[in-house]
Amino acid sequence: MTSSASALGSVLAAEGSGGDGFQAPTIAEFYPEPIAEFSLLGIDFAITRITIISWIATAAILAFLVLAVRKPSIVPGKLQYLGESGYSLVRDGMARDVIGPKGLPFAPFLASLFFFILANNAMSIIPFAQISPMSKFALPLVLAVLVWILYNWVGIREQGAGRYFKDAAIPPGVPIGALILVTPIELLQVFVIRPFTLAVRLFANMFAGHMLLVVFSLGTVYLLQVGNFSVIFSPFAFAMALAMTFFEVLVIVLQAYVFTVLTATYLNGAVEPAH
Amino acid sequence: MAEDSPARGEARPRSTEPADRQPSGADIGWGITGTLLSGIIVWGGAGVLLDRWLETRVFALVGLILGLGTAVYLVVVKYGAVDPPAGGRPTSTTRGGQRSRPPEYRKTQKGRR
Repeated sequence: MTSSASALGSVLAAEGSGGDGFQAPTIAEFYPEPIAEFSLLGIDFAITRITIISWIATAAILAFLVLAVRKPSIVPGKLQYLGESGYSLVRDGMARDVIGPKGLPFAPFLASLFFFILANNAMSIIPFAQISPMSKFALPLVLAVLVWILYNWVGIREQGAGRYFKDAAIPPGVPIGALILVTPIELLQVFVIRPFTLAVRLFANMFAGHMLLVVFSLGTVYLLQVGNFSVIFSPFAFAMALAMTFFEVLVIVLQAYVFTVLTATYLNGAVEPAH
Repeated sequence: MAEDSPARGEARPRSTEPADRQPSGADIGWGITGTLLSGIIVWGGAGVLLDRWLETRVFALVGLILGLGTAVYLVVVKYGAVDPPAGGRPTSTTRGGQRSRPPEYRKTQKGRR
């Protein structure tokens, strides 16, 4: 039983037992019961519904991309057109325009990142899945750490460690006396807060989006069987759930785009000496 | 795009050359948020630690305000210096009254990224 389904069950049960009112969904939404658990080298693994959704999303986007380019033709078919325009969005719009002339080698990485996030985000509105694996903080965090390692490594390789860290620590135009106040702030900003916000932004958007959808969907059901005049508000809750689903489409694409374009911006700062 | 421009020296202020590739607005927004947060955490945290050590209660507040003030200053220095010629009206003209480089507001959105 999915966690949303158990939340639905508790809504219905609360109503049956004389009405404790609306049982709002809790954070337990994001901790479904493990389907399989095992321990490997002292690390506990739990395969949950969300893990499997993530696998399905990844397999689906992989299959889509492979199918899109398997038989490339000069005049692309629909599938190939879709795949190519998605890739060229990343390649031209981010790798070339944001990072610059040295950006093209990063295009495959950025495209992988974009499509992976897009597919995983999209699971938040795919029927029967309806939760994005990105609403578990671990997944965006791992991606952000990956990006963090990459752009620091590229920065050190391209500019040299001394230059790179000096640029990060000493912003231009600050008098020497103020540096003692400014430098710790800059270092924390660049090396801790920046990757952290990168992860939080994606996580929080998907988390909040899922919560909104669950609240309005459960609200619809609750109001429908509440048994007094409140029934007339049920369609409004349903309309909200519908509207929020369309809004979620926007968020899905936007957050995948923002994560990738910010990665490109940070890589740009790494390949080119900062201002 | 920017490769034909000379490598930037250390002493050159950033406003002399309008950046060909503007960093995305999201980056600036989150950079500012992060800087403010960072200022509060670093110096507010230092104040709290100092308070723990000396068993006082003032330094947390002092550090908080100091950190926030420094962060605001840093934001102004880093992001506040808008390149004067880039965004404003074109002042210098070449023959024909046309600037060789399209002004910022006339660029397509793609060129501005």
